[in-house]
Parts: sequence; C-alpha cells; structure tokens
Amino acid sequence: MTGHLFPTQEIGSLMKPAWLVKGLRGQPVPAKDRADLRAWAGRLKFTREAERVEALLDRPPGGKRDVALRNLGSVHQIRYLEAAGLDTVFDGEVHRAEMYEHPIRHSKGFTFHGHVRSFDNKYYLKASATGPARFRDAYHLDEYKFIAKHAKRPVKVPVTGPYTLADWSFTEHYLNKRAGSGRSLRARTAEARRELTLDIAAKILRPNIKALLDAGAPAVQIDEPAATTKPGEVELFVEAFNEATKGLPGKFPCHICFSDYTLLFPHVLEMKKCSEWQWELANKAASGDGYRYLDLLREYGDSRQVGLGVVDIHVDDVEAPEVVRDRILRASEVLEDPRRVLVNPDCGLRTRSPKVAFEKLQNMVAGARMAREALA
Amino acid sequence: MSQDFHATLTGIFPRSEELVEATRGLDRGRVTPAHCEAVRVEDTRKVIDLQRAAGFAFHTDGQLGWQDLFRPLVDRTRGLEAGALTRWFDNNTFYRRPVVRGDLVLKGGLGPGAFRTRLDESARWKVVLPGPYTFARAAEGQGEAGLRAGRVEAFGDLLRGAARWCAERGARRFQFSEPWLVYGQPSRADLAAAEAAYETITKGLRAETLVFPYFGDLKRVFPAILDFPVDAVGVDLTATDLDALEEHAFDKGLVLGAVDGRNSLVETPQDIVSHAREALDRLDPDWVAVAPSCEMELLPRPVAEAKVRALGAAVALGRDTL
Repeated sequence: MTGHLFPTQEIGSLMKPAWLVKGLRGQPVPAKDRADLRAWAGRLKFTREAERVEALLDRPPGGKRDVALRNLGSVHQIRYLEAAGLDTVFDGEVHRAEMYEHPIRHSKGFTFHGHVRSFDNKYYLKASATGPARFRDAYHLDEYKFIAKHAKRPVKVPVTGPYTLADWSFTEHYLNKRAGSGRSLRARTAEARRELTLDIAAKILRPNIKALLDAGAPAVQIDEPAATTKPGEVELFVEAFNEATKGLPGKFPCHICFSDYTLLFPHVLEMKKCSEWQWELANKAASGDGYRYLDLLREYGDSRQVGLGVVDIHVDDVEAPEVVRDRILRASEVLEDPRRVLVNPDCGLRTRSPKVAFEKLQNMVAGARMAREALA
Repeated sequence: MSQDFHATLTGIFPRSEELVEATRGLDRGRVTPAHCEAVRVEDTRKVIDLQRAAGFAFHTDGQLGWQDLFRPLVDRTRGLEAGALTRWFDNNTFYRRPVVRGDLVLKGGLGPGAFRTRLDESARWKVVLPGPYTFARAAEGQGEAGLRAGRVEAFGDLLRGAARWCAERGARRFQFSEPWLVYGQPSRADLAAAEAAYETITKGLRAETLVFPYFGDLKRVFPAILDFPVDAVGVDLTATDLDALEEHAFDKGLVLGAVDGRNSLVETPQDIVSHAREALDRLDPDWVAVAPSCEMELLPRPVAEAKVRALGAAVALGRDTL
C-alpha cells in the first residue's frame, strides 16, 4: 500500500469501451469507436496494444480472438485507472457480466428460470437455489492473476458478498426442505433465507476469498449493496460476513452503497474482520448533509477506516478538487485521525462515460493531494 | 360460504420472455411501438387463457403494460408526475415515486391498454389498483408526513373515479393493494384516514371489493381492518401467522396469500388446501379464496405460470374436500 495519507482507490465497475462491447458482440465497430480507441491509447500508453485490438476487430468473432480482445480490454481499463492517478486499481470488472450472475453461474446449486423486472422495461436474471449452494470454481482467480500480472499499482479485488447473493436469489431448495415441518410459512421462509445465506457465505464465498488470498491478492473487498434492504435482517448480513471471513488471514473492506447506514448499527460492531467501510456519501450529500453519516462511527465507537465516497456516480457534473479536499478534511476531523480516511468514488462509475469518469477520478486524486498538502 | 372456494391473482403478472425482448427492443429502438403492442396483446391473451384453464372465477388482464402499481394512474392524473426510482419495499425491484404537483384530477380514465376487458367479453374481470394509503405513502417525500391525512383523502377521491371508470368497463371485483398498511406500524390516525378513504371509494361502487395488505404481518392492523367498508381482506401468509388473528370474528371474505409470490418453489395443491383449511378452522371467514402472497411479477414467468396451475388444482381439490 502507499505510505501517504488519503490513498485513492476504485470501487467497482467501469463502462466498457464501445469497441470492446461491439467487438465481443460481433458487431461492426464504426470509425468513431476506433478513433476513440486511438485517442485514449495515446493518453494511456496503450498504443501498441491498440494496434492489436484493431487487428482483432478485423477478425471474425469467437474463440481465442474474443479472449484476446477481452484481455486487452482489461489492460486498457487498468491503464485508465493508473493514468487517472489512483493508488489502488482493478480493471473495471471487464471479465464479469455483472456482480450477481457471474458468481452464481460459477457456483453449484442454482438454476435460472427467467427474467424478473427491475423497473420499467429493465430486467435481470434471478436464480433459484434448487440444491445446496456450493463452491464450483474460484470464479475470480484467473481474473485476479491476469490483472496482478499487468497492473503497475497494488490491486484490490471486489467480490459480491454472501448476503447480497442470497437476497437476490430464491430460496427454493431451502424452503422445500422444510415442507411438512409443521412450522408456519412465515417461520419457514425466514429459516430458509438464513440457511441459504450462511451456506453461500461458508461454502461459496469463503473458498473463493481464500483462493484469492492464496494467490497473493493484497486486498479483497466484499460488496454488500443489499445489506440494509431488509431492516430486520441486518444481523444476518453481519453473521454472513463473519462466516465468509472465518479463519481467513487479515481483514476485509466492506462496500455498502445506496443504503440506509443508520440501520447497520449497532449490529455491525460484531464484524471484527471488517477493516474499512466504503460508503456512498457524495450522492447523499446531493440531497442533504450526506457526510453526517460519519457521525455514526463516532457515536458507536467504531474505529474502522472509511473509504470515503467523494464522487457522485449518478451525475455528469465533475466535482472540483476543492470539493473533494473539503470532504476529506471534514472526514479527517470527524474521525479524529486522517489515517482512517481512504478516498474513492461512491460506487463503480459504469454509468458515466469514459470521459466524465476519468475527469472525476483525476479530480478525486487531485483533491486527495490538496488535502495532504493542507495537513502538511 | 357465500362465494365458492376459488383462486385469484393479486397484481401485476410477469412478462413472457417474448415481451421482455420486445420491451427491451422498444427502449433500444430495435422494434416499433406497434410490434411491441402486438406482442403485449398476445401475451395478455395467454395470461387470460392461463387463468381460464386453471378454473379461476375472476380474471385479471395481468397488467402487462403497467410499469409499476401506480404508473397508469400517475400518467393519467393532472397533479401527479412519475419521479425518482425508489425501491419497492424490501425487493430488488423499483417503482417511480409519484410526485404530487397539485390537485389530483383523473384525466378521463385510465387510458387505452390499462385494462383490457375487450380481449374477453365473457370473463368476470378483476382489477388491481393501489390502495389510497399505499398510494399516499408512496408519494410522500421527506418532511411530508404532515400532509399524509389530506393525501390519503385525495388519493381516495382519485381512486373512486378510477374504480368507476373500470366498473363501467366490466370490472366486477376490485383489489386495493395496501402493502404500506402492514410494512410498518400505522398510527390510529393513519388507519382512520385509510378507512375514510375506503368509504369514499366503495360507496355506490357496484362490485366486490378487497383490501390486500402484504409484505408484512396483518396483525399490525388487526382487527381494525375488519372495520374497513370492503367485502374481503387479504393476508400474506409468508409474513403472518394465522393463530395471531383467531381471537376476532372474521366477518368478511378472506383472500389467503398462500402461494409465495417471492419464492420459486411451486406449492403443491395439498399445501394450498391445507392453508385454506387452517384458515377456515381458525378464523371462520365468510368465504376463502387462495392467491399469491403479493404481485407475481417478482417471479420469472414460468414459475408464475406453474403457481397459477397449482392454485387451480388446489381449488379443484378443495371444492371436494373443504
């Protein structure tokens, strides 16, 4: 890790470059997208790789060509984050379809029955646990090894947490096991959710995290966007985190976004292996004083580090470095120790264009530098 | 029982994979609105046929064009706008928060496509609308709790007009979906406002009426909800234990959410009938129907279809054995 105050880090996924998306779909890649590739290549020191991308785009899709193209996309995104100046990088999750389907498809015990609506005309595939949830393969291991080999900065690997994977799945097998138990449907429903969640934690997440640690991953970030979705189950989220990390060396940052952080306390004080909260606070600041949530840590005596969300991922307005600096300095004051503050966007920047996301990251890095200077 | 033992749907039905593709295509400019509409009509026919084949007494049109429980009403109401995406209770599904901009005035009904009775003139139609309390709570922004009583009354007036518009087009049963009544603990003032709104909605309405609170324990509003001027009350069995309700005379029809609308495990007809038997034994309602515990759009379509068939089989079994 870096030796300076306010290290900067990415949190999640980035928008994939148009040439990569179209290239992997086997669609024609128009001149505009190729021009974008060349323009970014100059800024990212990706020129020779860009020539290989263009050669691949001219070949028929499928097989090794697609693997090579995706790998070059990964290197492109690593260079992008490095060029923005981040201290800790990843690759914007180029190798993953998204944060739920990828781990579920690489685990045993799940079946996809079809789409469920998210909102309007947007849908997602929701799996059923039709058997015991079990480890099948270390689904982030090859990805990590590839990124570690190509990154010039320390790498942090995001993994979707057990509570979120369970909450976004149906408990079918676990409910069915309880048929005829004489317990009420309400009681069986709750018991099934708990058992599925803890199975995912112990049988899927833990071996996956262990595989990453064994391969040398310096940091594994556990993403739990569903942590407060069901207020009555925050204790289950805590139990699942503890189960997923039980017996593993080190501690783990936990990213929770677009959630009501007041619901976490006091339950999360039992998450002894959680080293850092990564919270979405810039977005909350847009509709009030988002950074007041830091007071919760002081109120409950929670002395963990904080990955401070200083960049709103939902708007194109680019936060000025001075805004970032002030947010960092305020957090340093509330937390009473600047060493507790790390700096990141609220969440993955995949909804912003590459241009806007890059500017936000650059200003984030500049703001962190200004905060360091202010305390020098 | 004044009604035969029967089954009923309780809200928006999931779209078929064909309609999923068509609506996605519409958003991305790959298909025309006419194509998407044709797919939607065909899918609606399938949902109606599914209910007929399962022997349902009342049919819904599946509400396959409804973007959420509130949207057609929001779009057709002067004084309302569709606002920010907001989580639908504790689900990984979202609705657009209705934003109140002025007095609520329904602009001539729900509009074409909101309620497709013309697809089957012989059906006995059921319509699912938001309840006035849930509508008001969904529209409530930060710092607007003080406006709640007036909002519930205003949404009651709005829904009175909407219900009459549907009744004129053949609706014979109305369900008013009220998850907010049981998701937290409503105050006495909230319950009084809701009850008054139902007086407004149901007075003179020539159709059966059902209030269905779900995603929470009916005990939170029990027995007060039995005073609401409706013919039947629904209960979400995934969140409610019936033994907590049995101290009061249940002098209404009971729609039993015995099929889990949030789990892909398909219940057996025997399971469903055993829930109905328990309800009859414990509560002695005027009549019992079996139903999903909430809208089924939280399930993939093949699962929802299997659950409809299970409900139909349960009714066939229950008519002989209950």
